[in-house]
Amino acid sequence: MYLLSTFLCAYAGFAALCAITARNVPLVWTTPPSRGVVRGLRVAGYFLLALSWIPCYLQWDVPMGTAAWAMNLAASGFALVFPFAYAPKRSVQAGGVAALLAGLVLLVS
Amino acid sequence: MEKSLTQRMDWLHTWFGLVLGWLAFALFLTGTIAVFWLEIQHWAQPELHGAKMLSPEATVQYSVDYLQKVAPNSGRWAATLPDLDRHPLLVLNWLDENNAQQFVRLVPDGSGRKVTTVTNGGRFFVDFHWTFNREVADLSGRTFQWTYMLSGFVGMAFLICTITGLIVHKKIFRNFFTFRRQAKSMQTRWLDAHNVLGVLSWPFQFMIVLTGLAFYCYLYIPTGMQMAARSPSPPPVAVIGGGGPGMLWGRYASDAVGSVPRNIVEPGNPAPNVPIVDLFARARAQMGVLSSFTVNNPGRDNATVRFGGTRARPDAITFTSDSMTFDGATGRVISPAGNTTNAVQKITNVFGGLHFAFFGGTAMRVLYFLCGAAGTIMIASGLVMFTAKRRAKAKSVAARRFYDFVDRMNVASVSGAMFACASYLWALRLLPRDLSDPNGGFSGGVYASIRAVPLDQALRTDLELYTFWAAWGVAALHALVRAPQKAWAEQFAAVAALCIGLPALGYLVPNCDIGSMIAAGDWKMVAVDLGALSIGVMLACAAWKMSGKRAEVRASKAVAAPALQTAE
Repeated sequence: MYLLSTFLCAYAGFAALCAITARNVPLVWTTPPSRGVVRGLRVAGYFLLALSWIPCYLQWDVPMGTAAWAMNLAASGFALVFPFAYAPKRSVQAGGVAALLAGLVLLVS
Repeated sequence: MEKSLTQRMDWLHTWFGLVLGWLAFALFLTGTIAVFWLEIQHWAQPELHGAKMLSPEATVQYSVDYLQKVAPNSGRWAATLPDLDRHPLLVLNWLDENNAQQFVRLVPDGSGRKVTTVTNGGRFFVDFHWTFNREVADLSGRTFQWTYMLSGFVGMAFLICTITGLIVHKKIFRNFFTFRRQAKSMQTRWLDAHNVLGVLSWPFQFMIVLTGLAFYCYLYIPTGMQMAARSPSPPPVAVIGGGGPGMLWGRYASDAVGSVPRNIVEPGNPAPNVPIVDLFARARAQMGVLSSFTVNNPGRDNATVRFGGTRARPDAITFTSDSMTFDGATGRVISPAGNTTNAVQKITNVFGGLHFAFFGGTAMRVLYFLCGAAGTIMIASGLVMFTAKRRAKAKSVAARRFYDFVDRMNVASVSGAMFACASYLWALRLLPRDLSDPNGGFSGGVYASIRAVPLDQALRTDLELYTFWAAWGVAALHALVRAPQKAWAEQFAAVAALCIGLPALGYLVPNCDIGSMIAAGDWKMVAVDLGALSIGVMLACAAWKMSGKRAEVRASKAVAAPALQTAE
C-alpha cells in the first residue's frame, strides 16, 4: 500500500509539472495559466515529488526507501507521459485525484 | 572544421549504441527477466508446486531428522536451507562412511518427497547476461575469458551511452514530458520514445550498469588477481562462500548440490548434543535470516554447529557474510556473529546488493523489473531509430545496403533474443524430467554453461541451452531472409504466441496447471505464468500494429462509413 501511495503522489507531482511545461500548455489549458498558477503548480509539483519519498521511507527505511523512490519516479513518469500523448487534459486532471488518493492510501496503510 | 563536444558525443552515442546495442539488448532483456530468477527456478521445478512449506524451525528439525536417519554416523552434515518466500528447495549433504559426498534435494514440506528436476531454470538468465553461457572456470579472474570480457565491454559501452545521451539530449527539461505519438516523422516518434524511456529511468540505468561493472571489476581488470596468482596460494577456505569476491555464491547457488568440505576432525566419543533447532533459534536471533548450517561430528563430544546467515538479505541492500559457530555438545558459542569483511568487500557487497536486487521484497523487484524493461525498450528504440533517421537520406546503393543490413540485425537481436527466451521457457516446461542429471548437476560456481555433447548423451540442462541458442539461430536466419518489416511482425507474433501459450502448456505437465496452483495458493508459480501471458498480449498488440493490419482495418472503416450514410 505504501508503494501505491508513493506512486500516486509522484504521479500528481509530475502531472503538476507537466501541466505548466511550455510545450504542453496549449494541450492542457484553454486559456494560458497566470504566473501565480504556474508558480503554485511548480512548487506543488516539486513538493509532491519530494513528499513521495515518505511512503518509501515508511516501507523500507532510508537506504532501500531511497532506491525504491528513484525507481518509482521513473514508473510514475511513464504512467503519465504515455497516456498524456492520448488524453492530455484527463491525464493531468488525474493528478489531482492521485494526490487525494495518495493521502488516503497513506492513511489506511 | 572542428566538431563541437555535442557532435563528438553524438557520434560516440550513435555508434557505440548501434554496434554494442545488439548485444546490450540481449543482456538487458535477460538481466530484466533475471530479477525474478528464483521465482522462475520455482516455476521450472514441478515437484515444488503447491506444497505447504514448513516453518524455518520445523524445516531445520526435518533436516536433522532426515540426516539422522540416512547418515547417523556421518562425520559431517550440511544443509542449504530453503528460501521459503521465493524458492523453497531444501538441499542436504553429508559424507558417507567412505567420506564420499552424498546429497538429496527435498521439498521442505515434511513429506520426504524428492526434487529430481535438475534445470538451469531462472538461473540461466543470470548467467547468460554476464557469461553468454560460456563456463567461467576461474571466478577470481586469473584466467582470461572473452565472454565475460565482452559482456563487460558492452556494459562499459552502455555506461558511456548513458552519459553521452545526457550530453546530446540538449533540452531535457523542456522535452521532459514529450512523446509526440502523432508526429509525421517516424524518427521523431522513435526519438521521443527513446528519450522519455532513457531520461525518466536514467538514475536506474546508470546505477545498474555501474554496479554490475564495479561488482565484477576484478574480472574486467584482472591484473591484481593475476599478480596474486604468482604468489603462493592462500589456504583454501573451509566453507563455501567464506569471503572475498566470490562470497555471493553461497545463497546464489541455492539450487546447487554444493560440496561438503573435507577437512574433517577425527570424531570424538558419542555424547548427547544440544538440539540443533535450539541453536538455530539463538543464531537467528543474532543474525536474522539464515541460509545454511553445517554440523561436524554430529552426536559426538567434539561436535560443532556452524550457521551461515543469508548473504542476500531481504532487509538490507548489501550482501553479508555473517556466520556463527557453536559447540554442539555444550551449546557454547565458539565463534560469535560479526561481519568480518574488510572495507573493499563491504563496498563490493553494496554494489552487488544493488545490482542483484534481493532486498526489499516483491514490490522492489517489480520496480527493478519495470525500470529494466524501460532500459530494454530504450535500447530497442535506439536501434530502430538509427535506420529510421538515416534511411530516407541514403543516396548511394552501398548506404541503402548497409541500412538494410542494420535493419535485419535489429530484428535478429531484438525479436530474436525475445524468441529465444520464450522458447527456452517452453523447453523448461516440456523437456522430460527423466533427462535430468542423476548426479545433481551442479556443484557450485557458474552452472548455466553450454557444452558440446552428442544429442543422445545430452542432459536436460544441455538441451535447455541448446533450445535457447537454436531458437535464436532460427530467428536470425529468418531475419536475414525475410523483409525486415515482415520479419518484425512475424517474430513478434511468434514470441507473443509462445508467451500466451505458456500457461496453457502447464496443463500438459503434471502439477503445473495454473488452475490447481491458484487453488493451492502457489502465487509464485502463478505469477510467472500470468506475467508471461500479459507480456504476450502486449507483444501481440505490437505485432498487430507492425503488420499493418490495423491500418487496413482503419482504412476499411473510413471507407465503410460514408457508404452507410448513403444507405440511410
